[in-house]
Amino acid sequence: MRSLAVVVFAAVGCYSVINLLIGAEGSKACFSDISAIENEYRALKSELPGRGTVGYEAGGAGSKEYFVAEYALCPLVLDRDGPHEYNVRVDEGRASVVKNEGAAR
Amino acid sequence: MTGYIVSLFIAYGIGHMVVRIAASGVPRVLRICLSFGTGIGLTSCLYFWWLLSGACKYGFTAYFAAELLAIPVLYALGPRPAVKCAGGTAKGRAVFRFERKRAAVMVLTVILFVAALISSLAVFVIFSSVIPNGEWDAYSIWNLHARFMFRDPAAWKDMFNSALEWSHPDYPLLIPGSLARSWQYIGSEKLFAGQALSFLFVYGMITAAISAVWRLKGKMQGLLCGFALLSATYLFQYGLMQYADMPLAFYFTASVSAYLLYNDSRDNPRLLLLAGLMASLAAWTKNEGIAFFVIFALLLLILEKKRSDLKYFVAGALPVIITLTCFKITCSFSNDIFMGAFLDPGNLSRLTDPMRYLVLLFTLFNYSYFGGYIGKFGLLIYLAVVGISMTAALKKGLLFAALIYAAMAVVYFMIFVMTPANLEWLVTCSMNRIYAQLLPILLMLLFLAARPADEILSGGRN
Repeated sequence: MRSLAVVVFAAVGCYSVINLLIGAEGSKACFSDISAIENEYRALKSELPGRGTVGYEAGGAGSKEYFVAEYALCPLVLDRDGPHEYNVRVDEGRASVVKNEGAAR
Repeated sequence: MTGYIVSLFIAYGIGHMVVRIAASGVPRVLRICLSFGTGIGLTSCLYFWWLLSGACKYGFTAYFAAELLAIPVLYALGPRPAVKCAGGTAKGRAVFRFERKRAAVMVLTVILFVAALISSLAVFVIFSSVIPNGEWDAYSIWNLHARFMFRDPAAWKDMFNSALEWSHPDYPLLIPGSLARSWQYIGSEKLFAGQALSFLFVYGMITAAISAVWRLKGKMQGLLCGFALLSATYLFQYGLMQYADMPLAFYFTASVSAYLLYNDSRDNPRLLLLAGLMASLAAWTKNEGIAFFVIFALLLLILEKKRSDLKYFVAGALPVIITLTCFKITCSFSNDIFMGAFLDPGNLSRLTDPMRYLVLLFTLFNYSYFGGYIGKFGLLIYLAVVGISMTAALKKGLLFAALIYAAMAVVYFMIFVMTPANLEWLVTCSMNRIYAQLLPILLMLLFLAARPADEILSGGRN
């Protein structure tokens, strides 16, 4: 009985992993890659300063957008509170850089 | 790719030189795992010091030379290699002398294990390629901090800007430091470095657990523990998402393994040096690791009668704890969850609210599924069928590990009870991950307590 338990345990463990491999193709949809969003923000880099803090105006974009923007534009710090000289603005899903000459911050 | 391999080799070299100081009695495979963990951890500390001291302005070449120099220096500090006697003894070698039935089951188990291992490696690679940047926590915390530490070393402290408080700047720097260091070696940001780091930690953790159980309870028992770990899909999920929970689980497993080996041998107090180093690297990985380190140290202080051995634990932990303390003091101390749980004026009312306890206890059970077909019931049924069998020495080691597990569970539970954050949100975000962090210790405990499969298959003659 105990010997059988050992073999069954090993077999179930093995089947469990193999089954995961068989279903891998279908399960890929559970994850979402951010590369496309990241590339969109990366394209703005040339219009922004190399370091420091710039503004971020979401315009309805979710926090994921903002996190990915920060991830893409790092080491720039994207500040969601208040305008800066340079601001990344997201309008209808499109990101652009807006320069605010009169910004105090 | 060459740069990355060089970075790994140098990290491994440094780790190996440290581990060999205490390596007597450590199985070779576990030694390799510990060397990787030590090397990755210590070089991330070194990278942090490089940035903090301002030495980064002299360029990466100076840092590279320092790492390279560390290997012969550590070698000189370590023990002299013992002269090997010709022939040696058979003790400690893998000598397979089984009866026919036992041999057949062993071969079958090994075949199944290899199949499971290959499948899991394939699963890891397939899913990792779907999310090369990792998931939410990876790009909003760990890899983001790594980018700050790599892209502009002179201004790396911008990551502590108050506008980025959401990215948990108080989180320790083992993962970001290690990633940034490997990018420096490569010369550019390659996504595979993050994927490879997660891969190393996930499989290092599994190998360390197998190796410790193999050593203490027999080969077959080690493999069975491996099946349980390989089939726990949540471990892989958080690994390929590049979350810090798997590196943390690795250091939890490694420190408990080192203590169990120390407890088993009793003649090598230097194993406590490894335990201290691994526990301190857990603290350098994630804030939960700090709780783990404190609990580990306190339990050692309370339970360990051989007080003179404790100095090894302190010696192992000290370099990393100094680094961590310096990071917390000079860079970022405030933690939203911790501060909220313990300093928020409303925590008394939450502490006395029975509904929170009820909800949490229900959730604890609800979230205790860790993926795969074995599951908690499979483990309990297996344990009930084979029974429990432990030596007195092992009992003490298991009691220690069980107390660590229980104390960590209590700490997590109380943070959940006292947090001012939305309980449902916090549970949804973190309960599964907390289970995953502690799962390898739990599985090691179960398989070290269970009757050894080697004994079962030999009909009780072992």
